[in-house]
Amino acid sequence: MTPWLIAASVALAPIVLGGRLARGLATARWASHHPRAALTLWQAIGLAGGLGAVGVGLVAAVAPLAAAFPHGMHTLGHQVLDGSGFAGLGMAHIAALLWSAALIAWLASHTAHTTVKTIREQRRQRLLLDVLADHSPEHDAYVLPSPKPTAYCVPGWPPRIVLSRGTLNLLDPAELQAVLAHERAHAAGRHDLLLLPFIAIARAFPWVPAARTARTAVPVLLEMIADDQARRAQGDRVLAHAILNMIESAGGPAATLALADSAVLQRVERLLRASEQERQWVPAAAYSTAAALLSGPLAVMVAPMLCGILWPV
Amino acid sequence: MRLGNLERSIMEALWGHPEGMLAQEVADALASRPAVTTVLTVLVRLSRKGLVSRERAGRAHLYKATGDKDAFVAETMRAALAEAGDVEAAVNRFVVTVSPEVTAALRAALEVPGGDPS
Repeated sequence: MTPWLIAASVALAPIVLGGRLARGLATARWASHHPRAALTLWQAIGLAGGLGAVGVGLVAAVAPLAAAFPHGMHTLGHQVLDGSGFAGLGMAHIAALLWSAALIAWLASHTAHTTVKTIREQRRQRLLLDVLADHSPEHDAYVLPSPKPTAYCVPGWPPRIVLSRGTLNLLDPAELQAVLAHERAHAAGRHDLLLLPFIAIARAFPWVPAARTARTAVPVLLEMIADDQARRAQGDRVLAHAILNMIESAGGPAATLALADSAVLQRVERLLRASEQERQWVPAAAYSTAAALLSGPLAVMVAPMLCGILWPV
Repeated sequence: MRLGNLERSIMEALWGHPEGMLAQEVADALASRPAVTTVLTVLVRLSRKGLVSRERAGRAHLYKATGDKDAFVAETMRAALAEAGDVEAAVNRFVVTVSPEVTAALRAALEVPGGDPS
C-alpha cells in the first residue's frame, strides 16, 4: 500500500502546493523585477498541476495490477496490447482511468479551440493590414492611416509590427524606437505561444482559482519581459514616457478594466524604481521551485516507461 | 504583382465607387490591367472574408465594399485597443486603455525625478 500512497501524493503535491504558490506569486513584488523567472514558475505550476491531476488518476486506476505504480502502469499497457483489456480493474479503477482520459481530452479540446480562434484572428489582421496599411521600411512596420495612436504586433512568421499615423506623430524618435523594441521582443519571443496555454487552461478550468490568476498575471509578465528589451535599448525613462504618452492619448473610454490599470501601474513603477538594489538569489530560488514542482509528476509519468524498458514482460 | 497588392488595389477601387462595380469595371480601373478572371478570384475571396458584398445585376454580379475604409481601419485597431478575451494572444498590444486617474498619477510620478507612482 505504501508505494501507492507515495505515488499518489507525489502526483497530488503540485496541485495542492500550486494553488498556494499561485496566490503568493500573483502578488509577489519580486515577480515584477524578475518577470522571466516568475513566468517560468507559472509554467511549472501549470504543467505540474496538469500532469499531477492526470497522474493521480492513473495511479489509482492501476492499483490492483501490481505492487508498485510503474509496474502496474506497464502491466496495464501490456494487457491492452494483448487484447485482455482492463481485466482485473474494478469499477472505481475504470472510473479513475476515465478521469485521466477525460482530463486530457478536455484540455486538448480547449487548447485546440483557443488556437483556432487565435489563428483566425491573426489571419484577419493580416488581410486587413494588406488592404489598409502602408509598409514603412524605415521602421520595418505597417502603418495604419488613423490619427489614433496604437502599436501592436501580429505574431507569426513573419511577424508584423503595426503602428498608426497617430503613433508616428505622437512619439519622439527615441520613444518610437522603445515601442518598436518592445513589440519586436513580443514577436521574437513568440509571446503569443507562451500565453496561449494559459488562456486555454483558464477556459478549460474556470472554477480553478489558480487558472484564473495565471490568466491575468501572465500577460503582465510578458509585457514586462518585452519592456526589459525596450529599456535595454532606450533606457527606463524613455520607455516610461512612451507608455505614458500612448495611454494619455488613447484616452479612457467609459469601460476600462481595473486589471489594465494595475498592469500599467506595475509596468511604469518598476521602470521608476529600477535603481533599487535587487536580491540576486530570487531568480535561482524561483527556478529551483519550478524544478521541484515538476520533478514529482514527471517521476510518476517517466517511471512506467523506465520500468517497461528495464523489465519488459 | 503580389496578391496582397491586388487585394488592396481592388479594395481601393471599390471604396472609390460606393455604388458598386462589376468585375469587368474593377479590372478596367486597375493600372496593372489584371485579367478579369484574376479579379474575380480575388473578389470571391474578399467576399468570403466579409470585406466585399455582391448582388446580382443581370448576368453579372455587382461588388461593393461592406464598409468604408475608415470603418475597416477602426475594425483593425479595435483588435489592438479592446480587451480581446479568448483571442488575446492574436496580437500583442503596447498598451491597453486605462482610467484617467491612473494616467494622471503616472504623469505626476514621471515629472518628479525618481518619483513614486503609488
